[in-house]
Order: sequence, then structure tokens, then C-alpha cells
Amino acid sequence: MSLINIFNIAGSAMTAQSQKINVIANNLANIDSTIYKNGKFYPYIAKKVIFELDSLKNSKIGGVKISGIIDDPSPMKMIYDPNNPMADKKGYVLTSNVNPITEIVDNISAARSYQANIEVLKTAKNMIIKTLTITE
Amino acid sequence: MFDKINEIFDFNQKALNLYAKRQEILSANIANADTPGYKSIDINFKNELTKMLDKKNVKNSNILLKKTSPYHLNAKSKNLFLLKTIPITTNQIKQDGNTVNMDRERIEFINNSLKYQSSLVFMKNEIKNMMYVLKG
Repeated sequence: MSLINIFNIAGSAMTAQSQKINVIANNLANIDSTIYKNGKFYPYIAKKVIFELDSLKNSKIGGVKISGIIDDPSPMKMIYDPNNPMADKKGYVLTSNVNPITEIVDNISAARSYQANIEVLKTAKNMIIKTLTITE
Repeated sequence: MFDKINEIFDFNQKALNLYAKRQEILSANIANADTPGYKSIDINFKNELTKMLDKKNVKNSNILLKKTSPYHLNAKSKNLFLLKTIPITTNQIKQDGNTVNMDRERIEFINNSLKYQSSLVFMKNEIKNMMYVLKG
């Protein structure tokens, strides 16, 4: 039944969008974090979620799946802070490339997409209920 | 006698099936609004419905199962139909190659849902008329 499939499609989109919001929250929370690796301190690198079409069997249509979470390729920020223990000889500190503005804009966009999918679910639910109660 | 009743519901049944399928396609478009490279698709409702109502076409598209034993039951031909999808052209070009126009998708989604429900109401009234005659 096609209408039941809508639940899977919209559901997968909601899962993907909430995962994106999760990653955004992670990025914003770790905006000042450092990572300790191989005896060295590195600034936190922003993560990005990549979506992909998850097509149903023998079909052109389908839901969404997350094809991967990649590191944001945008450059790190250099900040002059000679008192920081991580500063280099000239007094500059490499800090995380998380951009709060892009993160918040992405967050709003993901939340709106999530809402749009909830509306889709609501409509599909109403249609199924109306179909089931056709004899009443 | 029940053959006739079947015939009465035949048109509405086919229309409802097609509306449900289109609803699924539109929901997939909405779900993939953020997927890079996803191309928005739709069907030509008029063409698909005439294809379905054309009885000759239905007979040709019957696919039967291969019987390897005389005890095998005859597989009933289900209401299977292959839809021809068409890509939607849009003047909004996004950077990631996605062609989903959210305004159009949402309007079509609501439009399709209301048409489905109106078809359902017509069917309901036919059932009501029938019950009226049966009960006297």
C-alpha cells in the first residue's frame, strides 16, 4: 500500500534531519574544544552530515539516508593569544573552524525540514484513517 | 450481482490507487529536499489514469508466475502498474544540484490529498446509496 510507504519515507527524512541537528549541537558545544592525539593538541574540526537518496526496491523514489559524516574542509581560525599555553612562537593559537552563524542557519533549516515531514506524516495518517472509516 | 458492485467501485479504486502513489512520490520529494543531487520527479496524472482505464493495456501488462507443478495455484494478477515518472523543471537552481521546489511540492501534496479525500467521499456516498436500497 502506497500510503504506508509514506511513513517510511517521511520517517527516514525525520531521522536524517534529527541526526543533522545532533551533529550541529555537537559542533556548537565543542567550539572551544581541543583534541589530544599522538602527543599533540589539535583544535576541534567541525563535522558535516551528507544526505543521500535511499531508494526503495525497484523504484525511483525513496527516503533519505546519511551517506557519511565528513570533516568540514573550511580553514582553521588563527587567533592572537600569547598567554595561551598552546600558542606558537609568534603568539598565535589555531582554533576550531566551527562557524556559529552557519551552524545556526543549518539548524533552523533542518528543524523546518523536520516540521515539513511531520506535516506529511499527519496528512498521510488522516488519509489512511479516512480510508479505513469509509463505511461509517 | 456483486460483479456490478465491483464495476461501480472500479473507477474510484483505480483513481485512489493512483492518488496514493502520487502522494508517495510527492512525500519522497519533500523528504529529499536537502539531499544533494536529488532530482524532483512527478507523474502525469491524466496519462497514467487513461493508461490504467484502458482495459487492453491492463491485459497486456499481466505478468504470471511460472508453474512448475500442476498443484500450484493460479496466481491472481494484482493491480500492478508501472508509472512513467517525469522530472520537474524549476527555475530555482541550488548549488548542490537539487531541484526540489518546496513550495510547489507542498501545494501539490495538499492538492493531491484533498483530491484523494474527495474521491473517497464520492465512494462513501455510493456505499450510502447502496445501503439505503438494501435496507429499504
